[in-house]
Parts: sequence; structure tokens; C-alpha cells
Amino acid sequence: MTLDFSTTLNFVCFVLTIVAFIFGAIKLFNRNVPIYFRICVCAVGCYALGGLSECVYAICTGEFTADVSISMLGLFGCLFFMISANLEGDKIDKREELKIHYKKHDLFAYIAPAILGVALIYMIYVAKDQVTLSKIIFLTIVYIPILPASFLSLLYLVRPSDAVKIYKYTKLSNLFILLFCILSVADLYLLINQMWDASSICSLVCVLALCALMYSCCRGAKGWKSISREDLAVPADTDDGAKEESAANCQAGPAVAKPNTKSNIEESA
Amino acid sequence: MENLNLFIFIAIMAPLTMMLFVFHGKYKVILGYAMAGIYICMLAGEVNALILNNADFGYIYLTQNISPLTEEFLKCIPIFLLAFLFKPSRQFVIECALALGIGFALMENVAVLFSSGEGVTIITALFRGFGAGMMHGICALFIGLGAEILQRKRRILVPGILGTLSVAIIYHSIYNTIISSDFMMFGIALPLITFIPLLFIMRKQMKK
Repeated sequence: MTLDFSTTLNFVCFVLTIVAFIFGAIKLFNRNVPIYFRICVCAVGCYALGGLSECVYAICTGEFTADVSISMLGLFGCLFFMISANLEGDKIDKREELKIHYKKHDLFAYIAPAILGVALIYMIYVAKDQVTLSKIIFLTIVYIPILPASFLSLLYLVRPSDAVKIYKYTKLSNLFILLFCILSVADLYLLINQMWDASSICSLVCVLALCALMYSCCRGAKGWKSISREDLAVPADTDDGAKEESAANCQAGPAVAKPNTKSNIEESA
Repeated sequence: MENLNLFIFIAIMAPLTMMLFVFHGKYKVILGYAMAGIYICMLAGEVNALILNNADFGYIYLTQNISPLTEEFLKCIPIFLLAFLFKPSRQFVIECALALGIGFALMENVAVLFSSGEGVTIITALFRGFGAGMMHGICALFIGLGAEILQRKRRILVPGILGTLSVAIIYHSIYNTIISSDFMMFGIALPLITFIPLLFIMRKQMKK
């Protein structure tokens, strides 16, 4: 197997993603960390598995698959984990007055899926002469989750954190998720136009965005823990799931310091 | 022999079906899931054969890209049904998922070794047994863990299922790519390096 520029860069991408995943898993995979950040780690892990699939294929067959392959499910799964993370993070915020408060911001968030959707339709239109119908269908299925993922990430990026303080700590993560979505669409454009080297560079930037996502998750998790219990409180009209989540988040960090009484020491032990 | 797989299937299922009437409660369900795994293996084999006959790609492409998709999709259905309809405990979902995966691997191994004929050695049997056995178990375990988490978090049901399924499919595809290449002997390494940490983590969590 000849290690050309594109192949080497793809190996580097895989190694970086695995490092980011291990870093995230060590730092964030415990019960005290809010589930939003843990699902983000799963997203990076799924992308790393897709990279591993590509690398194994390259080692076993002697060539890098530039074609449509099952390793693309790494991106597919990663995007769905990102959607899950944001949907799960949204559970806390169910108050009707907040929905009205955020109405303008929510409308603004539709810009991201609109732009990326138009770009995807254009690319599929361009690709229809170059690839077979079955591959176009596969690519469409793989890239469709970019639309809800970009919408949700922009939504929590533009929402001000005045009423719900946790948004402050997920903003940076959502910025990198949005960046990842945009770069993935750009990568698809380069792949369709058979610019392999440029596509590999774009993949590398995608991976760097994921590394930054892991770093921002670590920072966000620390910040989230520092929010007081009152800020995370859920009003009585919300569902049971939201209450459970709120309770879990309250347990997440040492928000309210307990006095060192005997019962508290026994409880913590 | 034309219907060798069918004969093997009947020979394995018949004693297990008798055992199903003897077992009660939890054990009955677990045995039922192992039997479901055996049945799904047969079903997936038929589906894959149908796809291969009607498509323009070869056997290697099928094993690397298509069969992981069909097999994992069929495997996930009973696990998610159990988790969402009956809402059992975390441990029970994982046990049933593992039983299903192992049942699947059992049928697949027997069918592959029989079809290989005289070319089978003890090394092949060991690698096939541990490699494919662990791989199917781990894939089912991924799905089981996902189902167990998602039964408590209905809000992320659809994206969660698709994400979990993607992980299982890619993992299965990686294993198939290795065993269909010249590096067949390394096929056992992937399930081993995944199974041991996974077992360690699960045992640690059970202790808590």
C-alpha cells in the first residue's frame, strides 16, 4: 500500500478522533456528568469507529475507499448522537413563558438547516450524473441528519442564557457541532467533485472540530456543575422526565455546599 | 446436501424447544432470546442470499457492507421490543441481548463450519468460535445497552436507536472486513480488545 497524502491524512484523522474519544471518555463518562456531555462523547466515539472502519479497509485491501461505504455510518450515527444530546439537554426547559421568550431566536435557528439543505440538494443534483442512484439514496440518508443537528445546535447557540443558565455551558459545544455540520457538507462537495486531497484536509478540520468539542464539553461540564440548584429547578407543570433530569442535574455538582454534619458525611460515604 | 442449514436449524431448535417448557420465569425468556437469535441467523442468511442473487456486487462486498446492516437490523428488533414493551430491569435487558447475540453466533458458526467441509481445523474452529461468537455478543450488547438507556429516555428514542444501530453495524463491518482479508488471524483481536474492557466496566457498574 502506498501511503500518499490523502491516505496519511485519513490515518491522522482516525488517530486524532480516537485520542479525542479516549480523552472524553476518561473525563466525562461518569454519573456525575450531565447526560448532554456523555452523549457528545458517544458521538465522537461513533465517528472514531467509522474512521477505524476506513483504516481497517485500507490495511486489509491496500487502498483507501473513496467510494460510498458502510464507514459513512460513522458520520450518520455521530449526527444522531448530537441530535440526541441537544434534545436531552432541552428537557429542562419546558416552561411556556420561555417558549414565547425564545420565539425570535428559534425562528433564526431555521437559517442553518435552510442553507445546508439547499447546499445538499444542489450537491445531489450535481452528483446525479457521476454516481449511481443507489449511492445517491445512501448519501442522502447519511447526510439528512445534518439538518436537524445544525438546527438544534444553532438554536441553543443563539438562545440567550439569561433565563436558563445551562445554555451558557453548552454554547461552545454547540458552536463546534454547527461547525462540524458545515464542514461535513463541504467534505461531501469535495468528495463528489473527486478532490481527494482537499477532502482529506476538510476531514482533518472536521476531526479538529470534534477534538475541540470534547475540550469544550469538559469545560462545559465543570461550569454546569457550578450552577446552583435553584437555577435548575423545574416548575410544577413540567413532566416527570424533566423532573428526573433536573434532579439528576442537581446531583451533578456541588452546587449547594452541605455543612459537614455527621449525617452528611455518612450520606456521602 | 441442499438444505443442510435447515437440518442444522431443526436439530438445534428441537431440544431447545423442549427445554423451553421446563424452564420458568427469567430463564425461559433468556432461552427464548437465544432461540430467537438462532432463528434470526437463518432469516438473515435468507435475506442476504436474496440480496446477493438480485444485486450486481460480489460476496466480499456483501459481507463487508450489506450483511452487517441486515443482521444488526434484524437483531435489534426483539431487543428493542423487550425493552419498550415490558420495561424490564437493566440487567435483564443486557442478559437477553447477550443471549440473542450468542444464539446468532452459535447458528452462524455451525453453518459456516459445516459448509467449509474438510478444510476445517481446530484452529479455524477456535478462531471462528471466539471471534464471531464474541463479535455477535458485543454487537448485541451495544444494542442492549442502548435499548436499556432509551427505555428511560423516550424523548431521544428515534435518534438514539439509529445511533446505537450505526455503532453495531460499523463494528460488525470492521470484523467482517478483517476476516475476509489475509489478516484473518487478527479477526479475534478486535472482539478481544473490546470485550475485556467492556466486561470490566460492566462488572464495575454492577458492583455499584
